[in-house]
Amino acid sequence: MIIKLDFRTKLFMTIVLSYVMVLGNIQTKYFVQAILISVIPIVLLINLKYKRVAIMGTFTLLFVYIADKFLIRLDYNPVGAILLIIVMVIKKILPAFLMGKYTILTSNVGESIYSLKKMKCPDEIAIPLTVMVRFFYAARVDYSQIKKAMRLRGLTLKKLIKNPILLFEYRFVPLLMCLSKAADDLTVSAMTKGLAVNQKRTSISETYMGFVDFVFFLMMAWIIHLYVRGKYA
Amino acid sequence: MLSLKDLTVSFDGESILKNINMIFKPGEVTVITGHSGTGKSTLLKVINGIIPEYNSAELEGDILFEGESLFDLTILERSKFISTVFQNPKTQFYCINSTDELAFQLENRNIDKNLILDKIRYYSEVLGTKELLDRNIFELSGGEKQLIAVTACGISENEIILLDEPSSSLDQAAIEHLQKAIEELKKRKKIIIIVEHRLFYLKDMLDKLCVIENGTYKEYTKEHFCDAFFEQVSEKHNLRSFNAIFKNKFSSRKYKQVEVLRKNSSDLDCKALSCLNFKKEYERKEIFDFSIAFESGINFIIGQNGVGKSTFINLLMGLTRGKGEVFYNGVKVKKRYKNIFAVMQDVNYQLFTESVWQEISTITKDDELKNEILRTVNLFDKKEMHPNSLSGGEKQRLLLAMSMLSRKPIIIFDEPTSGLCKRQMDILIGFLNKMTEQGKIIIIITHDYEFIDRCNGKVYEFVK
Repeated sequence: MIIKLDFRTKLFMTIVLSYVMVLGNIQTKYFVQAILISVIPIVLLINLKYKRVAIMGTFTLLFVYIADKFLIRLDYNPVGAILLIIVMVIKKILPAFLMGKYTILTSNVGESIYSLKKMKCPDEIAIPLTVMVRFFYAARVDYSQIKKAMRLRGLTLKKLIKNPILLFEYRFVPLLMCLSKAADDLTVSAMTKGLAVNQKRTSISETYMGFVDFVFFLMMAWIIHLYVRGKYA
Repeated sequence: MLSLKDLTVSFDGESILKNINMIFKPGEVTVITGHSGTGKSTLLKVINGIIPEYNSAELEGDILFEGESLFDLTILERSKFISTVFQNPKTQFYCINSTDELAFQLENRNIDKNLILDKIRYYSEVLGTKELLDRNIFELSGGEKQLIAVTACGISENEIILLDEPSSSLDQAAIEHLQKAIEELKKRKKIIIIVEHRLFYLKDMLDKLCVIENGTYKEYTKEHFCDAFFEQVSEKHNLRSFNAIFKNKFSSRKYKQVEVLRKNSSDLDCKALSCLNFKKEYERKEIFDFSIAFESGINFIIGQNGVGKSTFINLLMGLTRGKGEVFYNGVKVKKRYKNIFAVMQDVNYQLFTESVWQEISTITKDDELKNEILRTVNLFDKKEMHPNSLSGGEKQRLLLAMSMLSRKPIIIFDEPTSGLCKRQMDILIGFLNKMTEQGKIIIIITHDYEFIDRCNGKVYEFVK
């Protein structure tokens, strides 16, 4: 069975997971529930055959939970403490990151504008939001091209690691240039296709809240309940 | 009917187009050509409203469509009857799914969902783009992207269709498909205006040819068109050829078909560069598994999109994982980047620093050499400029200069003529010949048969 979620559900889940997992203390108070919550986006990703992301997510998850258990038992030493902090941060961010990735991978522009409009979200917010999704795609392609080009010029990580400012400049100056051009081109192409603020528009994608969306909303309610209980009870 | 009346376009007081008077009729294909930087794309931008709304410029004269001035309308209002296919297929789409993209314009017009779907079905059938529906646009080839853009123009049912160098990164098969799609739109009485350097695929459907030169233009109409006329015009204005060139023309020179799935190791010895047992798989499908060797001088690699040309050079340059060994003059090459310089298709990615001078200083410290090479590529006056403010042709020349300075023996080009006018192509060929004299091994991936025809060099066709 393929789980198809409405864009609003996905957005809500992304927000809940990032807020609750980053700011809450579910990981320390409810260990099993925390793992269950972290598994939700992975299940969704597997369901739509994004295997690579799902596998990477699973391994990172396993790794940080095991590393956490291991590191916390060690006697205090500075390196261990730093590693522990890194592991804890990843533990907190990972579910939100995977959920966000899922939302970006599975939403299309038309559908998301339409859903956001149904939520009475003003165009001034909805349109830039969807452009951002589109923009991440362009950025990913550009970034991998730049890394390739640098390697060809012999500007490898190994050589530049001693000079991080130069590394930063060589990687990000062309990226910013490409991105600002991409942003210009995208704006122009959207305008020549009649995208405007505050106009009525239709959508060819089916968007309605179904039973599955209801189930996931309930799940989120349970997570919020855990969060509140963990923090204030 | 669309007409330009005494149109003058100037940037900062300097007029780039002067007193242009043109008339475009429904069902007519007008091709606008001329050298790079003469203002061809500017003209399209003035028609669709990007100038002056998005890029500022001073306009005089008028543009009339059905008797009404376009100057009073915004880009948005003009989008109801003007569609544009942009040059860069990478950033002209707003959506990620191709069907969404096709629906996008009609969605913005608040048209009923079922009507939109009907129109998508109808036009994708007529324009032969049915198999491109419901795909991820980022996974389509350049040619397929341009076809989606043309289909979107059809679906919008706009009267005016503008195309800015639609063929610049397309292979032969894709160009034929594009040609058919444009003809189909012509039958539907659209006003079609195409800005283009490559002219051969437009010859048969052309109604009017405009050559822009030094701010003004020459117009040739259908009555004059014949083979002798085309030859004369391309001679006079130094344009690219109107005649299609086919690959059988290369049979007189060294031409070899390379079956990329068959391990062949014939005549690999005594070549300057040998690539042995190159093997690459993608999602459990074999892309290639073969050996190939190149001599010094120019080597062209041609072949259909998707046959693995780019993957092959990426593997050769060590940019992608895969099996294979590279030998240069019999010695195994370990660090590929130490021996290979690449000029990639999108030159924007390859410039990292803040000025032309700094860029070239990443290669050598010798000031005299740097000055000399900048003079040869005609960039000496621009050495303080930011690399990104150069034109496409100039960026390419900067990379050429760097490749010549780098003393690397192997130079790889990916589609170097994409977007170049005839004059820039001739300059490029001059440099290629110079590099050949220096004994470099030049490997060029291209779909541009006219370019191959004008160079000497061996041709390798990759086939599955």
